[in-house]
Amino acid sequence: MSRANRGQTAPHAARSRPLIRTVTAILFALIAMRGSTARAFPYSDFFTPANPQHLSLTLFASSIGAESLYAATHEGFQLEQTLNPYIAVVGRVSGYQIYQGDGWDSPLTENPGTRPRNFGVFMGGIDLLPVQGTSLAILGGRDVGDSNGARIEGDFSSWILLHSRHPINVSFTGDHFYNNGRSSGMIDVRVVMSSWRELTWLLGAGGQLWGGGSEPHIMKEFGPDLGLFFRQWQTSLDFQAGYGNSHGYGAIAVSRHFGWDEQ
Amino acid sequence: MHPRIRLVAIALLTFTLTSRCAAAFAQQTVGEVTSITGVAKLDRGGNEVDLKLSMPIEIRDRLRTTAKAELTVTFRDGSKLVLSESSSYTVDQYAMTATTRRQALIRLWIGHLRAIVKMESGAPNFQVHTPNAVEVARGTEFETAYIADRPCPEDRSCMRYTTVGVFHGVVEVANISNPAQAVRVTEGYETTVACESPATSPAPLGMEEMGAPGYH
Repeated sequence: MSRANRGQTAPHAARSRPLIRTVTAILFALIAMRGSTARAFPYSDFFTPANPQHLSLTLFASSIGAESLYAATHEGFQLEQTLNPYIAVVGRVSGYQIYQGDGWDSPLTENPGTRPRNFGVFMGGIDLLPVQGTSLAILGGRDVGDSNGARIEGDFSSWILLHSRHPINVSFTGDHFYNNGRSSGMIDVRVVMSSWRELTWLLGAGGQLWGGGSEPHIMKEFGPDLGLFFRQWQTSLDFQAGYGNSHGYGAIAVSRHFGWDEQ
Repeated sequence: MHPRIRLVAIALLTFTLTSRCAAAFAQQTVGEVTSITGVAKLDRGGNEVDLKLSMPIEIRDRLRTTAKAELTVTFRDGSKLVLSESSSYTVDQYAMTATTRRQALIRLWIGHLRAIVKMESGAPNFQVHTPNAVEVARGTEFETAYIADRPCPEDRSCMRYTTVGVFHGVVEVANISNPAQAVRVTEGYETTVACESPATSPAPLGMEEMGAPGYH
């Protein structure tokens, strides 16, 4: 990395330090809880392969539109293979289409105007699985096409009160785009409202924050979430709509999960 | 003895003996194979044979599926057991009165078993046991899995555990070493029994597949 680049990314790094500290503190707390509840010494099986090894494939597609600034779609797939009980390797390939504006997950260096911009994103990394129901994936990769910069991403998800009628999911995703120096974060808190044979549905709230690069202020938008999980098809359908700096916005996403245990 | 009386006595004795045999046979045959894919085996009295469609199932039969096989047995009361691949169970007890079940006890030795229980009365008379758990059906459909030689997600130091997911109705689940400490699992929820631990509080089915929303 050049000296100039380091200078550009330093403000972002300063802003993300409290976030990193928070995520680290949550992870340590979860690990400590595991240590106090598990009978055996925690992580004594760290250097053994996962039993069974597990390969998963997730297909996903989503669409996001904001009233005044931004519309985008993206789709792709992610493969994840366990290495040991607590670490998996992750690879993700996705395609983005940005139709207008300057929104929260755009790595473009200039306003794309009305011409749709298409680019692919190739990312890889590791997924840390410190306790049941908690994961932290750290990915890095590059865009190709109308965007061609590097990016990094962190995805955190944790279930609280897992063994209850209404477990709570807390999730956070942080991205940094080296193309335009922008960072964005998505946060959601959702509660399982009910679970039936075929369907589980969740309600909550979430939103996006973004800033950096040419954007001097932290932009934000928040709104309620609705999640549906169709068990028979291993398919999730998620909706979010709300209001923020881009005025009204809406997001819809669908993902299908496949998994294979390796004997 | 008068020849006519002797004849009647012989007829009565013959009828009594044959009717008891028929009743015993009817009680022994508790169901039949109604669906089979792949290779499944029946162990009856130490002799193992390949299972075929419509084959009768008797008390103390041990049924086993090989890899990529699935076996459905329909019992005389209309209840069904669907055995997934590489799994095994025994029909320990299946007491009937005419077409009504009085008591059923199924023992799952390994693998996955889905029970679709016909509930004609409110009496909880259908039980599935695994080596470390006991389940009493108060509803109609549930799935039991007994996993050995793999760490339990709830307690990684435990290498044998039972999970019970309920699709309809209610099932009471307890560790076999302490049946009194049972948890009630309702439709859409599941519980896990790890080694000697009590059953966990129920969690929604399939939580491992759910996490952050898809637009993350």
